[in-house]
Amino acid sequence: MTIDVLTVHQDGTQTVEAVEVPDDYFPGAVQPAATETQE
Amino acid sequence: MNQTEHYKLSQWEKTDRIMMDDFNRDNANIETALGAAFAAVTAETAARTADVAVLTAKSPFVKLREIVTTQSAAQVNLDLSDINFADWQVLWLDVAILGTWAGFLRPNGTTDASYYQLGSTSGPISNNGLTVYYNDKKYRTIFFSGKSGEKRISCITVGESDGGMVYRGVCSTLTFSQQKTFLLVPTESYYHMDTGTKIAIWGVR
Repeated sequence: MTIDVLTVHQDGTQTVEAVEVPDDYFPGAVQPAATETQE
Repeated sequence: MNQTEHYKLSQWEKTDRIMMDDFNRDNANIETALGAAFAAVTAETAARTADVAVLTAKSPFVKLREIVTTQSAAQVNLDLSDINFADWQVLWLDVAILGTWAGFLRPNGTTDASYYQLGSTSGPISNNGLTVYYNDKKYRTIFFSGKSGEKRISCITVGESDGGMVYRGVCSTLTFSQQKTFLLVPTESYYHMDTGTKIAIWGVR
């Protein structure tokens, strides 16, 4: 599948291109890290 | 004929003759006064610019990037290859993401690196990235480069959470000298950062 990737270059210019990525590219739901705290 | 107090401009009475010489002298006086005022403003501007440069050079904080995204995207790649992390004691990465998005901060886009929880001697917690960001929250990730490119990338992220605060401390198998790009990688294919997402990088001497 393709995703839109925005690249911010050294000079500050921004470009967007469609990039092909594998289906397993996405890590999925983020698990809370052990150091996370909520109050 | 009378004259104004400061620039000696003509002030005619009804009985005064209208003479060309008076107008020419007035215009010459105006020209001289405006020229002096312009020179003074120019000198003051130059002095203040020089003062700002001196203060900026003395400040320990230098803004290296200030980004507001101009287009929507699923992923954002930051080219940082011109930033030498070894020039700085500490770097701050400030992130405020708009849209429906959650994802990892991944140095150089690689998943080959491993990430360890700071202070832990147990195995790596992930190979997905240094830290996690969510939309509509503000985060500061602090990198402890210590003016060394050979140190492993280590950072602490502090940010907002729903009703509280979140922090993560992570160390990578990558070194700061290997650090060239930061990728903000979404965790799901349908996530998108909206236009107006803000990212800033500060170097601290």
